[in-house]
Amino acid sequence: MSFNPDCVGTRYQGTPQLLDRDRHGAYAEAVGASPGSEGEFIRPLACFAAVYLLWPVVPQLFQDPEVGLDVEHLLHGEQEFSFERPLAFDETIEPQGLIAQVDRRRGMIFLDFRCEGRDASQAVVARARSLFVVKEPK
Amino acid sequence: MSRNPGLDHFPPLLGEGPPERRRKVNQAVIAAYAEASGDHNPIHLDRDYAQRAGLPDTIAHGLLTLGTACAGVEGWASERAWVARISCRFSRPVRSGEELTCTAQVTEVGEGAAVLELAALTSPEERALTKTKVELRTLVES
Repeated sequence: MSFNPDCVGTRYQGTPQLLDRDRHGAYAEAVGASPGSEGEFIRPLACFAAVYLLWPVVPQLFQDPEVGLDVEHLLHGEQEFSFERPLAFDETIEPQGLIAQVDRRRGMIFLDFRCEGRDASQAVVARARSLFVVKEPK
Repeated sequence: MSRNPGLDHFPPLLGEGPPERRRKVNQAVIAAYAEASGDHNPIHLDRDYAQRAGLPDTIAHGLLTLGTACAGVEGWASERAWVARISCRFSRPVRSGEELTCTAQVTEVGEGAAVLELAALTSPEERALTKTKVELRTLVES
């Protein structure tokens, strides 16, 4: 399976994700986060977007035979998250991913992957940009 | 891990930030993150697989490292501000068993917003993250 440089523009749809406290609690414990003075989290941690925004779509990218990424030689190079407003527990976010750009230089593939999360009104409330770097075979 | 004393004013002052946090990222932590996030890539969970990939041991997920670094900022600021933007570069994988030392301080203050630069180190010379910034915005509209 070889990498397809014409994959730019490929979109992936994730299933709607509920920002529930149980799943957030497991995430918060894993990253060592402490709740505020009230003893519970006021709102979901921003990096919880890794769970409800990225992970419903990134595995689709990694497993897409039409893209042909060599995930054994893939590194996560950069990550950005941005939000239009503070999100709340019990909201549902619908994630979508897009291969925005591909660069090949010095034997490496640089894949720019964008995600958007829409709320119940279909407004985009969360965005992610991931840069994945893959070493090309010699 | 002790609870951080929180930010009680906004905007924060230049140079302010949450207390330094240290956290050992052992295999139990990595496994807990894999379960919580759904990322079960064997490079994080299977030592033999990681060694076949040329690594000395399993490595933490990049987003576990980022989440650990950002958790201190959010714990510190969450009653006064929300996180509007996070950006980072993963410069070095964190190996199972390494200890992360995370610091953050305010480097820019604007109208209703502040930016902190974060550091996450596995030793004084080795940075797991570089170019890591968190933008806070006040919860109270001016």
